[in-house]
Amino acid sequence: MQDPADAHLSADEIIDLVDNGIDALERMEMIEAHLQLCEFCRSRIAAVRKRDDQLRHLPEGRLTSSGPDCPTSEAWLELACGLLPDEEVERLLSHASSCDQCGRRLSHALVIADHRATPGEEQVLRNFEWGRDRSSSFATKLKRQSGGLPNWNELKIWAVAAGVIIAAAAGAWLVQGSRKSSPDQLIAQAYTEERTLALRIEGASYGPMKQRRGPGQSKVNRPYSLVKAESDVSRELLLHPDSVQLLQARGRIDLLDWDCADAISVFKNALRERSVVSSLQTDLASAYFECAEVQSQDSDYGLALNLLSQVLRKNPQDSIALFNRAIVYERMGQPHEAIADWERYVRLDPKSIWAVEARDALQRLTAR
Amino acid sequence: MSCIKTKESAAWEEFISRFHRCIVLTVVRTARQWGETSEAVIEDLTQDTYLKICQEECRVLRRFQSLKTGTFRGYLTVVVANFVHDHFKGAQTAKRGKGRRASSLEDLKHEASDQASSAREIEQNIFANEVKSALKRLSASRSAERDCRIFWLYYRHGITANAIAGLPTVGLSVKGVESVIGRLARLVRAELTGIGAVSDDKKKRSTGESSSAIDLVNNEEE
Repeated sequence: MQDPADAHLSADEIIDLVDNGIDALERMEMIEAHLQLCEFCRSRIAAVRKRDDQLRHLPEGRLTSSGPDCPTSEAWLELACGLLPDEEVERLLSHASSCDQCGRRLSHALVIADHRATPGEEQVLRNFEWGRDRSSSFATKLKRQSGGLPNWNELKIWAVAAGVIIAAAAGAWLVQGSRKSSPDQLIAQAYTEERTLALRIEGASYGPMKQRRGPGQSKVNRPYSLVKAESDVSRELLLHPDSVQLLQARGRIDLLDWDCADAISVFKNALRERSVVSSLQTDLASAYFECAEVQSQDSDYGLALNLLSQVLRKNPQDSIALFNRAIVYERMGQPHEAIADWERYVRLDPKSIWAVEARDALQRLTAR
Repeated sequence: MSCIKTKESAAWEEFISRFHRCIVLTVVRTARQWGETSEAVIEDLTQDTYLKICQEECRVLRRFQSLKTGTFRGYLTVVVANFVHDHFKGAQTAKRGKGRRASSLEDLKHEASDQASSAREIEQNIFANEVKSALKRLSASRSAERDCRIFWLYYRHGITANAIAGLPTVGLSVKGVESVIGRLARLVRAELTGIGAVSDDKKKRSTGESSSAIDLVNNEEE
């Protein structure tokens, strides 16, 4: 009769040994003794271990490309979030099990859809908790944005104080609101509301200078018009990536955010599309000006000056380029040239509010 | 939904208290897929998301009322994730210029994976095909298709048993999913190494039963 220690390991024993270790096996001692002597069983265990390892590394294999019939990422998100009917879910899951790319998309969608946060995410979430005050003030902002009416007490006070004026203002507001603002208008509005750039941009009305934002800084206090402009421009750029007008708007948003490197890159892209456009050159000059201000690089002032001079050679009446060049001269420590430009500006645009700034600058420079 | 109807601050406060965590978590996870983890950016995107929700008299919220399936939390997650994806796609398109498709980090990884394949990747691919064939040979019953799908989602796409159990139409508990995965892994390894038939579980082994087909091992989880 065969000694039990001589019997080869069964398939179950081999798999159990690989999964749980030899200690978990019922006839552990006999198996240990058998394995000391049996090359055949050792090779079978090694083969299962190799398959086990390969199974665990299955996601590392080369992925097949997505095909024309692959559902969108949005569809996988909707599936993961339980928004699709069962028959659609079945169809998509069947596809995911045969398409590597979509399997991965499903995997990523499931990560987003999981309502439980990992310990690391909990830490991040704690940093974004809004206290009662913050929630309350933001709720008021949302109320305004969603078109909510002021409460009854507010209405009463306003009605008593200036009913007629309110009615007129409301009428004007309705007319204004019914007109959809273009990104350029929104950007101009943002510039005026929260002017952080000394230089002028085309189409924007005067606004008092405020403390500037900078790259890497929070954009929490950006005016809503800028947020809206960014959202609109981003969406439109997806449809019209070559549009010079949209690229210029994108660059101006970067300018207002003081992301000068991005602004330069976008304006240069736009200039490549349409070789010379004065307003684009003026904007690019502003981006170089910002870089010079942020990084204290005088050479960037030189680039800005060069561009603005090109614009003014073509059109000496370009008041925005003239205004901006005067400031650049000032920053470059060339007061005589700055004074000459400011004087020209005051002659060119004597009645606007910008002329007040020009006269202040003239006074400041001549007093030195 | 009272914030749509009343548009009062109190309703919005309630909305924030209920869904702020869900919104931030979705923003954080989606932004991470684009390689963005800066808290300033997350904060901006979170605020932009709220403003987006308010746009056009809360069109996004009103749309949910017309949907027939899903929870509001799930719907909100989709809305927020799509908004964040759009943001990064738009930013990337603008910065990279015309004609370039926007790609998340994951898309880029996939593209890289398509372009370069090491010897190990090729070997793994051959193995993946062997596993597929083995699963086909082993399956016969009506739930075998579902089980193979579970196995594949788990091993090939790295989806956790928990997440698989949460998928609509799977109809199994987490334990049920783990059981399917464990049993199929046992069968597949035995099949591919040619070590002979394995029994579906220890109980059956102890009574001397054995099986090499999936149809003998499933249904217990259902």
